[in-house]
Amino acid sequence: METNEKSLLQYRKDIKLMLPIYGKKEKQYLDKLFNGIEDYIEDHPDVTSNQIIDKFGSPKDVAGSYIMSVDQDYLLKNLRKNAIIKKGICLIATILIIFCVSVSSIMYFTYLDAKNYNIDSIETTIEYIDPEDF
Amino acid sequence: MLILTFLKKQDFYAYEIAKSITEYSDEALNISQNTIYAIIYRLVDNGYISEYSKLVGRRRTRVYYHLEPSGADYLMQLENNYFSAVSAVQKIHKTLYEEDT
Repeated sequence: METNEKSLLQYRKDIKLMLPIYGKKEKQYLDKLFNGIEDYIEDHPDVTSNQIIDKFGSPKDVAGSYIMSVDQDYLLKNLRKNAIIKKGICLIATILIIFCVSVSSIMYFTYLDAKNYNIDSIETTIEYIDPEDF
Repeated sequence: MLILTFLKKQDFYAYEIAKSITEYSDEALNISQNTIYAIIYRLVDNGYISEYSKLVGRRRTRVYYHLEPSGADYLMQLENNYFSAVSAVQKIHKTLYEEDT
């Protein structure tokens, strides 16, 4: 039974990976599907995880059926949103990398400059303060 | 169409619909569960059927589906299309068969 639970968790994870988008609607869809799996297990207590996957379809089939049934506008809108987010993350990561490399280079060259400085003379000023001035 | 036909009779939960289709068709129609869920999802999305949760046992809830008036109209339209398609196919089949003999 524990093996079944683990396999079902893995099955759910695999379906999630196959879905091109995963939001509230997709979570609800999977909840309902797994609700049905619970009904099936209730009906067939000795069923194995492989039999469940045979009955309910491979992760690829489940994801495929969902994509076919979902509203195309919703799907396209979310795919576009995902693409924009991915591009945004890439852009931010690129900017961060460029910034880090620039700062590191500046610090490194400053260090090299500092290393090349030779101290020729040190000027020391000793100021005499007359105690009567206090 | 079959899902709506079952729901016209009474409220069902998804697994029960899939099981009933197999049983009523003497196992001739064994539609994959994920296909049933996908179709139900679309029917709910289009407002043809509605869903409600019912507590089963102490913790578990089960989602039941109910046919809405727009779903009943859609079912009638699907049935008309289905029967006219079947009669058209039968007519073509009969004509071709008569031509052969």
